[in-house]
Amino acid sequence: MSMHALKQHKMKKIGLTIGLTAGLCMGAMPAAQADNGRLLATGGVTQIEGSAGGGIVPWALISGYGTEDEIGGTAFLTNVRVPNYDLVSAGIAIGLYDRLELSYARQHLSLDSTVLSGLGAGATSINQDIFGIKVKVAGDAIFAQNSLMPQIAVGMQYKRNLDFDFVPKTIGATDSSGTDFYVAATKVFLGGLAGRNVLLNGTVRMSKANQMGLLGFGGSANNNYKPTFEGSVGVFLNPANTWLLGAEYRGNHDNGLAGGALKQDAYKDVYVAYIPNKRFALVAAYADLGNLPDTTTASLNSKKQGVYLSGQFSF
Amino acid sequence: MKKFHIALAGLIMLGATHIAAADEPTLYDQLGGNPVVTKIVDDMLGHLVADKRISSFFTNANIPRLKKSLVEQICSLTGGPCTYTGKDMVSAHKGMKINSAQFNALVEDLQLALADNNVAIGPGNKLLAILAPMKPDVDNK
Repeated sequence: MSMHALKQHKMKKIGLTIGLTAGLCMGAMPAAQADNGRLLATGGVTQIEGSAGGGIVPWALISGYGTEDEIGGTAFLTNVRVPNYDLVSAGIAIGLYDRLELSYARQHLSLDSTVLSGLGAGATSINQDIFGIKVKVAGDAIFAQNSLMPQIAVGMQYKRNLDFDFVPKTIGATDSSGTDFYVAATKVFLGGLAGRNVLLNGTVRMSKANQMGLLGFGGSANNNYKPTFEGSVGVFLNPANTWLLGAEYRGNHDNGLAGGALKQDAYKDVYVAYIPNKRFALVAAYADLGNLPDTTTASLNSKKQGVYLSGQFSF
Repeated sequence: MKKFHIALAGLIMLGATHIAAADEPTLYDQLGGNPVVTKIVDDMLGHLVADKRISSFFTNANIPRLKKSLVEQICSLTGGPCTYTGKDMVSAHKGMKINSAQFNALVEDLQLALADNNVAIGPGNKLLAILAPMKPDVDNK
């Protein structure tokens, strides 16, 4: 290791230590009586595209902890690592009066040059901007315990692939940008399962995206909006609701990239979220992304599983 | 004949679950009855008057009367042997202009009181589920 590399490595380690220490200190803060705002965990966490939700699914909850008289928000950093692919997503969201959510996220996907070079796309990274807007239209996920009516929100995610010409176009994607439209319904059943609070969420998304837009929008087999279903379940393990254990599913439509050679499957994950207070949350998950391009294999695809880690600050 | 036996077994099982349901203690009993409910309310009021976010609502309150009323209300809502004789939630909070953040502060103080008394997760969450729908009747009146 060169002097320079050693120094950089050391700096990284120091940065990580400071980050972790800050996180642990914030984690030690008492959960209640610390803030105004909504109840703990009722802003969810931040999904991979920057909207309040779980890990991969947007929920009907509004980001942060602002009530109808307050403004809340979040800043998040997420890393998903599967073999040959490393996705970093970072962004911010603001929740206005528990009604409107505005978000921005930047996704940076690093990939081994081997996985797409067989198709003539040798780039080692793909970047994407995602601008989100979500409006709560009805219901209250937490307080309406006397009815089955969930909280319902509608949202959009406008995505702009910044490396369209290098990768998505080369493998047959039609467009460099696209907008996803979704409707999400979220309900928490207090004492719903073995006395624990249970969160259920269902989302229907209209999208043309290939792998969330990282591989562009549309393809040779389809360039129209198709509805896909996404769902999340979660169980709050303890009375303080600081530990949430759950699973998610996100359907994806296969638009037929590279003449149908590249597959797109559903994403799935099992997650545990630690939400010690209204300032900070950590999520760890095991994610199954299904087939991703891999031109080192005969089928040009291989199934990828790996880890998902996310941290967020909120107010 | 076999069908009859299955049906009979089904009926017996239904009967058994029915008896079990009838024997199941009320939420009031699960919480620990009058002594624990009284203690929870007492501890919650302690947290409320110490809570800077909402203590101003209680400076001129008749705390002993409020305590009696809350114990009675929780008792009656959880299947205990009480009848709530206080005001309904809308008129009790009229003109107080309680906002969501203040309502949530009270919920957090109740959660602290449940924790103070080691209330099990199931009965604690069920109590919160019964009280939660009152929010629209309390807020911004």
